[in-house]
Amino acid sequence: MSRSWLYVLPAIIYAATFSILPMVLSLSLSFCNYNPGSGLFNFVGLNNYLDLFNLARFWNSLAVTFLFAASAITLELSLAFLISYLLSRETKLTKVARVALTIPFMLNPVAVSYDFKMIFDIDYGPLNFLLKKVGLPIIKWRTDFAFLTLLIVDAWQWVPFVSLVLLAGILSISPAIVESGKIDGASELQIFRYLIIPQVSNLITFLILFRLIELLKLFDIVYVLTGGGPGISTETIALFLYVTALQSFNLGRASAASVILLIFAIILGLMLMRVMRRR
Amino acid sequence: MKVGVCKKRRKKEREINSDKIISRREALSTAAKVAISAVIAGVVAGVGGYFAGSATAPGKTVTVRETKTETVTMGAATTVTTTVTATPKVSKPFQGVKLTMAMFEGPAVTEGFRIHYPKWAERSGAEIEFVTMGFADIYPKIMQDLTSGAGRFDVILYPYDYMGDFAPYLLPLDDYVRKSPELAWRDILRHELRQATWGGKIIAVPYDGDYMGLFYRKDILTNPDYRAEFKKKYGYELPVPPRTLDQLIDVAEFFNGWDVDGDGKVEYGTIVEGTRAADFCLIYYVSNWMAPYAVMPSPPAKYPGIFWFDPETMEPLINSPGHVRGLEKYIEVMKRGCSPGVFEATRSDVLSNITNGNVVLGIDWHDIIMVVESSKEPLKTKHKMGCAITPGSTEYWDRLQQKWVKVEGVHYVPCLSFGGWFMSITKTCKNPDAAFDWIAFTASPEIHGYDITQYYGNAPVRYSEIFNPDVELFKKTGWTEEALWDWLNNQVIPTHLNPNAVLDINIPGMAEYMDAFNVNVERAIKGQLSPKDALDEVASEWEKITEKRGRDKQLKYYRAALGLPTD
Repeated sequence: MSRSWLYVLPAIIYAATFSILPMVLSLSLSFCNYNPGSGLFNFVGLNNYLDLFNLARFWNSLAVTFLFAASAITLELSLAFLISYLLSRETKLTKVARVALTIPFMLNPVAVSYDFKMIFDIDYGPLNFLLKKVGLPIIKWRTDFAFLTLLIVDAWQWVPFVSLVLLAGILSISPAIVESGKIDGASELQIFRYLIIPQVSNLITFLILFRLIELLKLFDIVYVLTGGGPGISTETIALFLYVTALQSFNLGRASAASVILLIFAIILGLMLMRVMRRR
Repeated sequence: MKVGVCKKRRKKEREINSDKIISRREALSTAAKVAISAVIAGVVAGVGGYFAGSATAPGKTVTVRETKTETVTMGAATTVTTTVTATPKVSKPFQGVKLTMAMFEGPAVTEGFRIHYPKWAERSGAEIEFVTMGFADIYPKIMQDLTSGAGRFDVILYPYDYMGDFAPYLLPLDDYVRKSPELAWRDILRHELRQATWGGKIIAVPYDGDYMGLFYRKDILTNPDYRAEFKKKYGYELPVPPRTLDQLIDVAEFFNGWDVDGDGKVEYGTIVEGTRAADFCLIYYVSNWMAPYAVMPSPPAKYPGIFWFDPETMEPLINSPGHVRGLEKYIEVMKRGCSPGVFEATRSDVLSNITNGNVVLGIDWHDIIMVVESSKEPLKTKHKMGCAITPGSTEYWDRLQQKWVKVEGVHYVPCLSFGGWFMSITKTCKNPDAAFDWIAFTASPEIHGYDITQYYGNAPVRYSEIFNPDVELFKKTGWTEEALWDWLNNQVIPTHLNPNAVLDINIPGMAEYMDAFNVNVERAIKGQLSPKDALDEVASEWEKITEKRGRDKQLKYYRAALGLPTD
């Protein structure tokens, strides 16, 4: 009798304990009204889900998350393509730049957020200092442009990573393809659009999926820079879950919210995987 | 090489290596034996350690009988003399006991524990493991321990606001407190006593008596040239200090955005918290502006200090015209009397700007004067900071008659914002006697009276501390006697003795109530909603929270927190 299952047993136990069991517990909690502080614990069926469907703040947090994800991915991919295309030329400068590009995404997001908090400070930040110097009005970055501020910080940290991945894809394209395009009289833009992009399309899909999963969990830069404000205009779903679960200790509602988020994430993931398979 | 030779060589290699190769059965058998041996060894070590730890050498018993007479002055007129017979003392009575205490990382508030712990450890024979945590982690980490029953923490130091959620898991301390001569319970301030009681039982010992007050640059406000200009502009004498919130706005506006002290840098009028950020403090700052307009004096109100909910129905009061007026004034001072950066200011910005003299005046906790007077750094505000009770108003909203009522003089309503820090013993503590001995030691008049004189900023919780402080100790830390009495006489005493002082919300669900307040008030501050609409949203969300948790239960908790009958 084959005992090969014994060798995967530790991995199964690990996955069951730290992935499947918490998911099942979370799912069961989502049908309960559980608040440790008040001693409330009772089965309420779908009430938590119905509460969430009627809670504007929950839908706002989902909308903020997906809007931010779409904006960030669009911005990051656009900038990354430009950077990776420029870095695909082999010069001394590009070699140095490729190494320098690894620094931002190796830094701790919380540390990066605090640095940018100082940069965007209204009274003492260098950005407003420069604006004042050139005679422009100062900007309340984290108040009037909170969403943009977060986008800038996120892009600063992740564009280098996306660029390097795209660069690897671009460098793996056979030079003969590009040469043949040049011979046929294609411009740089046409080569980029009709030859290079199709060649790295799978990589693009992977990057979209990768960044989407990360952005659905976005918490650190929001927590430090805006706290979800002004009001709830930058409150992501992760921050909403944190407030609900670990500040309000409304674990039933938080579990229901996380289940809904999981469903959205699975649907999006499956759609992207289908696109990848088609290509 | 011939094939036959290869095959023979491979067969010989297999024979040689067969001694080294073990079968799958043998591999699993060996692994199981190793695992079982490790488990047995672990169990033996654990059992042995348990018995070794619980075998404590009995301490020497020394019987001491003494009769102590305590004279406690309560307020200005009452002296209480009690005679206490001390119980027999045992040297190192808690030898071998190990406690775990959860507390804020400090050094503010908690530095005293580290300083005094060796003395207590020497006398008690016990040990304490201090588990420190950042402010934002206090609630979730302690709550997780309490609700999971893990029982890691024996003693907890926590903000008053969390008491409602922690209360079911805390040991009642009535017997300990009343029988402890070291704690001198009757010396503790009335509002602090109220806050330490939950559902008629004492479940905590106050360690830091937080409140908010006004701090102002005496040198700037008394400058004769500035006073003349102010009078010319506003038509009345520059008040030192501002007595009403309207006066504070005028003063802040007057000093906003220019170099008031000739140091080459621009100063601003005042600073307040402008964003909910992640520190929960917005509610504390805003409530100090709302309270003078929203709290009715008692009488005619049935109960004093009613600010958050109606104590008969649990209906939210937070969107009354008085509360709305306070929020409007808060937003007004942000626009007229603060720097543009105020809209992103957090608590640490407020603290640093007031102590560093970047603003001329501000409302904040007592930490301001502690830092200013005892700082070793050359602060330009040192010995120049005046203290006063938070400004009041000349009218308040009478919710019973539904109209504004003008007062003669000023209607002061200070807020005991944040409520201060309290120590409790958890129900899972296996050595409550030792735990209370530690609490009584650190909260005793001797030890706590020392702590309030130090830089780490514990606020007074005792009558003896506000009426009869150790002036010499304060002076050793850097205070002047003038600054000390200015602080006590003009701020601490009027605040703690004000019968209308507002206590924080500390009923279960406190975090939800505060979050709803902070989110919507920030929307008003940032112009997304009008103050009235924002507070209507707050009231609506509070109603939902109350309904979900049970109105009758929440009403009972709220009345218990206010010290009102709950029947």
